[in-house]
Amino acid sequence: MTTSLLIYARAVHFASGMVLLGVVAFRWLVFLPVFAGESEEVWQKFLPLLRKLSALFIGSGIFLIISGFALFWAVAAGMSDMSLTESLNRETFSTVLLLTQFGTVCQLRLGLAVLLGAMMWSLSREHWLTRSQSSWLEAGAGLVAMALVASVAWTGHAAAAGGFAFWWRVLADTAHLLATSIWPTGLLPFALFLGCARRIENPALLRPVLAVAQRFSHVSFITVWILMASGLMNTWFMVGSLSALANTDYGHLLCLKLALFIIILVIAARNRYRLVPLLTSSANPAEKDHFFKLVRYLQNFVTIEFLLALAIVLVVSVLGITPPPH
Amino acid sequence: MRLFLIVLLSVASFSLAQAHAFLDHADPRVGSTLAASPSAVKGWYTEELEPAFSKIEVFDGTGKEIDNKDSKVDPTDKTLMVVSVPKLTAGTYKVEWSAVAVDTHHTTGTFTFTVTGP
Repeated sequence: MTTSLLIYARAVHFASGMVLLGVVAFRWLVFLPVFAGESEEVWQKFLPLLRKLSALFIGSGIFLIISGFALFWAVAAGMSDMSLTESLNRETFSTVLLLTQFGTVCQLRLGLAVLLGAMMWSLSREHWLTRSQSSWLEAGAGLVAMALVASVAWTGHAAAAGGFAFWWRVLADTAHLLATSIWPTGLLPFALFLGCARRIENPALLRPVLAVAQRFSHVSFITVWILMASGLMNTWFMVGSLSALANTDYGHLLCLKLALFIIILVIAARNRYRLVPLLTSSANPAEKDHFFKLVRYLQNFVTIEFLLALAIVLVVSVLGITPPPH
Repeated sequence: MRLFLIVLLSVASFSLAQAHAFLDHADPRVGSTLAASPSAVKGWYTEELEPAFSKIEVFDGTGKEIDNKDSKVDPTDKTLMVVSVPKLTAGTYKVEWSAVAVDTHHTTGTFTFTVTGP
């Protein structure tokens, strides 16, 4: 029971934090730079998308906070070697919170969660409908969310390393967590954008939709390299050898994660080198129907990539409770 | 979607040991025979430990705890856990340890050592 809660709470916590950051990253890095210069008419057509992004941002923030509490409970039960019911008492919770490294990080994360909740409360839905890229409140919420996601690195295997290796492990973990938030978790807002564009199916949208697809492709391309570099560093620190990769539970899970990642990568490569060029060549009013048919294909593939990314988050959650061989 | 569900269910059904901090070495050494009583039993672990949830205990052949109940994690080396013992008579002693690493995972283990001398 404790193990199940630990796995699922951690998975929901990771996923919701990354989706929250993914929404912010998509809005800042992809959507607003393209749409800032578009006409009011085009902008108005995407208000439903912005409302969805706002709901996703707030919803994932709520999931992040609730799953954080569930994760704390599961960890407290595991540390005290009690059942979930037995561990539900002030003494156990206060010992974990006040006398352990995990608790110290939780205090910091609790403060960040409260701050994030207050910021999200203040970020009215209407704010999300503006073109402003420089809202301090939104920037602040994004930074707090980044800190919340990155601080997970201090509670995992990396935190158990001593000395010099500790900083390298935490750095690799942090880079990996933040990059994952942009891609592939950021594929969810991108899929919502494509769905919105497909439903509008207006010739005036050909150019901005293509620009968003190309820009997201470029951002993802950079993120993939960061993910691979930090993933290799993590693998080296945690596994250390090919035989450990082949002969341990941790290694097997890592291989499963890698296999899922490769599938996502193949789909992403197909999108980047096949679908986006086809979109580019058909981005004219004469081929409007074909263009939006391609947008639908792209949306389907992006949705599959996102679902596979969620499966990776679940694998990572299990990796978090599995002894690394190194 | 089907692949996603298969992966989801297969991962969720994993049942793995939540073990992270392992005993690296001990003093007295695991299974060793000593000519005289040690003054303390020490265990070095593969990861830094959480003092609030880690302990080490020593039992005699009848199962009675004979350590001084002052088990602690060394504040200068958090991979080291120590408990002092009174002067031990000849016999085999069982050490039981319970460790929680700073990555929050709980492990337990036992080992024995024998004292032959006075």
